[in-house]
Amino acid sequence: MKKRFLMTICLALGILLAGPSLGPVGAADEVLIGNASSLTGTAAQYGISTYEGLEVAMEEINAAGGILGKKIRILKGDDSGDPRQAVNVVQKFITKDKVLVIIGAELTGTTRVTAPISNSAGMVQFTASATGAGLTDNLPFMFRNSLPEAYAVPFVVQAGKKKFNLGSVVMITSYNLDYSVDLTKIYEKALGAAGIKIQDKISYAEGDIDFSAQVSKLKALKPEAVVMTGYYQESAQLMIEMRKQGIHCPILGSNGFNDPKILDLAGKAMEGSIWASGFFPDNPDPKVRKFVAKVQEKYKKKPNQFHAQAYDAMWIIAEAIKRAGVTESTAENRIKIRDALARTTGFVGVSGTHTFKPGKGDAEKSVFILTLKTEKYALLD
Amino acid sequence: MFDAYTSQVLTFIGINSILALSLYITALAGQLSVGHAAFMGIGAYTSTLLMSKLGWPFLASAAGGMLMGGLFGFCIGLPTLRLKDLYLAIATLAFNIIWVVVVMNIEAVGGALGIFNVPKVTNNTIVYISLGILFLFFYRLQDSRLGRAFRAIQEDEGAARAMGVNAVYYKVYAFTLGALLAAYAGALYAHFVTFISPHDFEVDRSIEILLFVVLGGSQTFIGPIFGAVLLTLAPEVLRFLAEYRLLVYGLMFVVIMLLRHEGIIEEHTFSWKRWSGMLRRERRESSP
Amino acid sequence: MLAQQLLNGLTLGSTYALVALGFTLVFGILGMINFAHGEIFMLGAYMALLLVTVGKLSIFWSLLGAMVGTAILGMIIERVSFRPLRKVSILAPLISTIGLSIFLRSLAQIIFGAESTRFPVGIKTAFYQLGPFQISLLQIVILAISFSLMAIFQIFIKKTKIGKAMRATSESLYTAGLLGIPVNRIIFLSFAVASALGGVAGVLLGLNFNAISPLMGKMVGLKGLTIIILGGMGNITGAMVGGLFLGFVEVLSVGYLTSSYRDAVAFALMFLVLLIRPTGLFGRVVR
Repeated sequence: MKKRFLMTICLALGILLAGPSLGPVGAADEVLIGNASSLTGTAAQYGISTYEGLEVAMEEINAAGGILGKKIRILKGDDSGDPRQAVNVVQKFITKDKVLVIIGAELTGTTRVTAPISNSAGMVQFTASATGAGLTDNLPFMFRNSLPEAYAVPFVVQAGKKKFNLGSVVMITSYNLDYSVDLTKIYEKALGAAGIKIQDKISYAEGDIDFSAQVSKLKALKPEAVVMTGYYQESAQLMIEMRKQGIHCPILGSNGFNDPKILDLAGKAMEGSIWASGFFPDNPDPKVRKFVAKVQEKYKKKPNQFHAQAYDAMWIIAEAIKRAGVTESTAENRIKIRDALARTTGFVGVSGTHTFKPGKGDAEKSVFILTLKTEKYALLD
Repeated sequence: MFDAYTSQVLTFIGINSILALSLYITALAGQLSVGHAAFMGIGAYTSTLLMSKLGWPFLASAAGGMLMGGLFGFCIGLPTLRLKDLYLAIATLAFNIIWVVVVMNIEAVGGALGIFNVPKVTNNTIVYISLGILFLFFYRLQDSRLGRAFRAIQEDEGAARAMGVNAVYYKVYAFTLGALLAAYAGALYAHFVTFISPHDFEVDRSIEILLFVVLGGSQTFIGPIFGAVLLTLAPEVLRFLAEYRLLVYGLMFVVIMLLRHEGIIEEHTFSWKRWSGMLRRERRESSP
Repeated sequence: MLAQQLLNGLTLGSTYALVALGFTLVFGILGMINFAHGEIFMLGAYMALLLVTVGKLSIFWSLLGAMVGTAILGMIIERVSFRPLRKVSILAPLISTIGLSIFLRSLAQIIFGAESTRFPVGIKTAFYQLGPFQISLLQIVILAISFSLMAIFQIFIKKTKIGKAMRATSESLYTAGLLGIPVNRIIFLSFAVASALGGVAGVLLGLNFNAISPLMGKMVGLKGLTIIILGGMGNITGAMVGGLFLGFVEVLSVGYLTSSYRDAVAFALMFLVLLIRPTGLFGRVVR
């Protein structure tokens, strides 16, 4: 009994003392980039994709000699999608690890709470995945290159109206997912502007596996088209169940459809879907082809738009740092990097052409409307 | 004095300690709650709305949050009096889940989007002064009439009633007090992280609070505080493990339960008699 | 739509019933909840997935394989979380299994990826029209498997020697020991059976919905808990009827009320039952 007790006390004390001083320390000949993302938790697959995209870019840049002769090192900072942990991760990056730039956070919620922190510390925070509205407003150090839904959705609605001659749709929302609730509002606005009515609304919860009840209800409505606003798992499940119960109407989707995993899960059930993207893996552009091949080789999977946006983000930041000509993380230098970043114009990436207009932290990008053709992603004609 | 990161971690430790104590007081009267995160959420939302929409100052808003939490605590504590142990735990768990679902559906408070730009007021001074007051309260509680009544009910409710202890009164009192404290911690949390959503107050959070108390030790009030400190630091310390973090975290509970199931801090951990070898064996034999 | 919803409810409910049986078996004997039961359910599905994709076995053999695998997992959990702790406190095994559930969930995420994975069907798609019901061959298979398992289990627990020993142990651990029943072994076996049932439920769910994810055990586990409260803790009939009941209620609430309160329905029902009739609708096994 005494031994056990001493052991646990030592364990506990060890944790207390070792404390936050554990973790890698930056070397002077490195460029430290902090990646705040969700590597565990419900949004883990997006966080992992983002990290992988960053890694591919990092290896390319380092292989070509790094930035101003210094190699990039990415520090992982897992927040599990939890705002409470996200603020700790970002604060640690700023105070303890003294990174040069923060890439993150992964989700809208975690980005919203951390952006003010990096902003007051004068550190650039760049998200390649969060799509909520107004994330970069009044925050001069906050940037993003992920395609905001508010920007993309009107394109989808217009395309849908033209192609399918829609008069009404049924809206499907994941009521406990902030991304979905937000997107539903955006869709409502765009649909209203296009004169399309919302026949009815159906909801489900994140993590639901059984959609039979919702789809049976949907069937009774005889919908012209359906709008899906959730992440890809549940969207795929809905599609499968819909086709199973004999509903074959078109589907208007979202950013969530950009993960090719949705195709793996839903297969043919996905036919009839249209959505917007800044990236599609079957793009014949040689730069994209090369990127897709690299991701395929390294991670044995096809890249999704998180891979692509993160890859571009890393390159954009690397070029900005080069333009600024500094690699040490001091307040002055970080302002130089921020200014260089804000001057990015016409950067051609795998997820489109990026330009930051003065005073705006959101990159202006091109939008593709995608659909499924012979089980592959293709442009809608 | 402390850098921004350390200061931040300390604030979370403080808030979590208050949460741990809020569960502890409910547990003192023999009631196990796995729904304290809901009370925390009630406090967080109430305080946020009072401050943002009505412009009340912090103390008034936090007090409002506490009152609302206490009210809900009373409303849940009273009808569940009859329930024992596991049944009460599950009932509180159900309450937590229902509360989250309901708030998710209330558009007026943002639903799943939550509320952001909550005014930032919480700092270490407020947190640690609050904790200090609680420390005094619990220290005095042990030998007070209230504390003894709680302990009597925890040990054997039937016997306590037979001895004239008004179990109903004390149990509801403990439950309400616990809810009140959790709500206060919720207000502190909201005004620190500046963003709240129903996801922050799900059952996982209630289980986490339970773990503070169970791992830290529920025999004295130092235990829960120790548990809060340990479990707040753990994710920070383990962060370098990245994706493998949760593996170690989960395993930690299994291991600690095997090594020391009553929690790390027990009744006589800090007693000087515990460490003076001669009296140690006698002490151990005489403890319950 | 009603007919279809009833069928949906039946299919969902039978899965819930199997999970609940696992919970109730453990609770009946030990008076404790195995919080990692949801993860056993999830891992059962993944084991079957591996057996089908890597082992190239048919769905039938993979199902059996998953049952064996989860039974072993259950036995390990008993040894690690329950045997050393059950005499010592009620909370300790609970906390230990909470830790295990976190561990198992993360392990699955790391090994299989955090995303959903397609679950192969292995049964040809065919639909049959029975009056107002449209039922698929798959659904028939699932219902057949769940109900026959429930029936086999009933026979097992009522007629076989081991089954009777399990019932005796759940009446009173102490007395059972006095009567010469090898209590430790019975507990061990109960965990095996309970987990195997959970594993099957996982496979059936994967079959039904074509996809599984490491997180699928969490909510199902919690709902399993509500079912045993509804049906009476430790009560086998209660678990089965409760499971079916919950399946129906959930599906109907989605179909006719707002679907965004679905999860709340299960727990609100449970809360009400706890307040009004804490021993559950069918009464609790006396401990």
